[in-house]
Amino acid sequence: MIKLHPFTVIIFSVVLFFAIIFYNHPIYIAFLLVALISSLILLGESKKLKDTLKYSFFTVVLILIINPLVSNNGVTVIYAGMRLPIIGKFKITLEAIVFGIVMGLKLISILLIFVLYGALIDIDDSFGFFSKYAHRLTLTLSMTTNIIHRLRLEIMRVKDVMVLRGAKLNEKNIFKRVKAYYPILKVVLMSSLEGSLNRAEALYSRGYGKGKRTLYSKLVIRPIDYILSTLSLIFFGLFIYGVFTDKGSYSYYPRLESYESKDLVFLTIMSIPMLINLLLIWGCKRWKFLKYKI
Amino acid sequence: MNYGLISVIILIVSLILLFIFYERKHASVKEISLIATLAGLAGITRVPFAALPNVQPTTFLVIISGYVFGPWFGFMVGAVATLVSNSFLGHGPWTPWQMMAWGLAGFSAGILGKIMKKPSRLCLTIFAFVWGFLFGYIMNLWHWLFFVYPLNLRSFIATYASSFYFDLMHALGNLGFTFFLGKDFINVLTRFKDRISYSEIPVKEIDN
Repeated sequence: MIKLHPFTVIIFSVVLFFAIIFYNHPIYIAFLLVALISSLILLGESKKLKDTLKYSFFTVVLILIINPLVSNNGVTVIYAGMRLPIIGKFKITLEAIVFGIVMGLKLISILLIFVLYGALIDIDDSFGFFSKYAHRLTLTLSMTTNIIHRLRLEIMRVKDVMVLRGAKLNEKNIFKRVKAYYPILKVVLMSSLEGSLNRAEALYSRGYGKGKRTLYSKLVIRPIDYILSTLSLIFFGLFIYGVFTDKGSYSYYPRLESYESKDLVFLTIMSIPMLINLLLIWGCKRWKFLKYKI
Repeated sequence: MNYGLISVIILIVSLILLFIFYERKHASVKEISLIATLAGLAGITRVPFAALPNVQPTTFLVIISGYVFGPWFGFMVGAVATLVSNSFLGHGPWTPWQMMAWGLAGFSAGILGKIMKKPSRLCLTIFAFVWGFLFGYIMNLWHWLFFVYPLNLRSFIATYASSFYFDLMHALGNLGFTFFLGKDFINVLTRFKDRISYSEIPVKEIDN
């Protein structure tokens, strides 16, 4: 996999995230979704892609149902029903349905950005990057990650001890089973807290917090990081320009707006740096020549 | 106005400010280690309970750690637990909201601990029960701001009504955990708090 500097990946994902949240243009959202899906497939992350799609299904359905039910703003009425308490007059409009669909696609795109971020970033590198600026927070995070794995072993150990001492963990009755599990929970809590104090003392005796922190590995910034960051910044600049000049906006209510060519042109231009970014990342994965050259 | 974007920017900036504050606070390494352990516990307990919708001891653990160790400690336990456990369960736009919601649960529990030194079991249980709903309400807020239009009272009520049963499950779970485990766990944590804190005895008193 291509190795990028964490800063490059963060800035790229953040800009993409803001662009997706801000713009509501249906064509733009659909286009970004297609771009994200195809780049994830090309990067070999199709399993995670499938999992995310499965995972987000419920929320998307909720969005699709709630929007038409609560929104009274559209003028193209598809179904008009009786008057309900609290909600008011019940009617379903075309605009609300379309808005719901686009919002569903938007949610999936946002989730896919997180998948893309996970695929591009190297966790160790990102810890190294953050520890330079926020070492207490990074220490807390890396200790927590470590403890989660340690706790699993701890639970298994305590469980074995309890079984040997005669605890019946596979009781049929749920209340009895909960009662049997309760001591395990308490022992795990106490022993893990005890362990945490031991770790703190170990860190303390190695001189943690005395003087400036040294770095174990150095992160290199390669030409590709410069290229990708510059393109992301151009993308961000265009995004800010679009925000202030109101280009690329789209309104759903009261009636679905027709597509204006100037909006589409602007959105296309804005997407170019992002597409080049995605292509470069894919190219570096595909061709060793490109990977070593930049 | 794009309220979803504004809300997420405010949220991320406030989280960053709170983390900077934590960085500047010079927490001792023992405190860091305890935060990490409690956050790890709170995070991992989300997994085995995943089968029961919205019933998990995370809120309960965050609340009691905030209650025993104070507001900032509680906030960090909640925020770190979310951040780390979401790397296993899946990050998403909900991560900052969850971090804020659980962090605030811990923070408010710390304030409760400062106001009431010895609250009854019932009082703590009610507190945890209420947080079951408050957590859901904070999480609904992002859903409402991001994906619902128009943002008016009607859509607000509809969004909140649709999540009532999920929030109720969460609140009932909290109620059960706090009622049955609360006192015991608080005793354990208080013992550890006493171990990492010390008080100075003025020289005068030793001399006498």
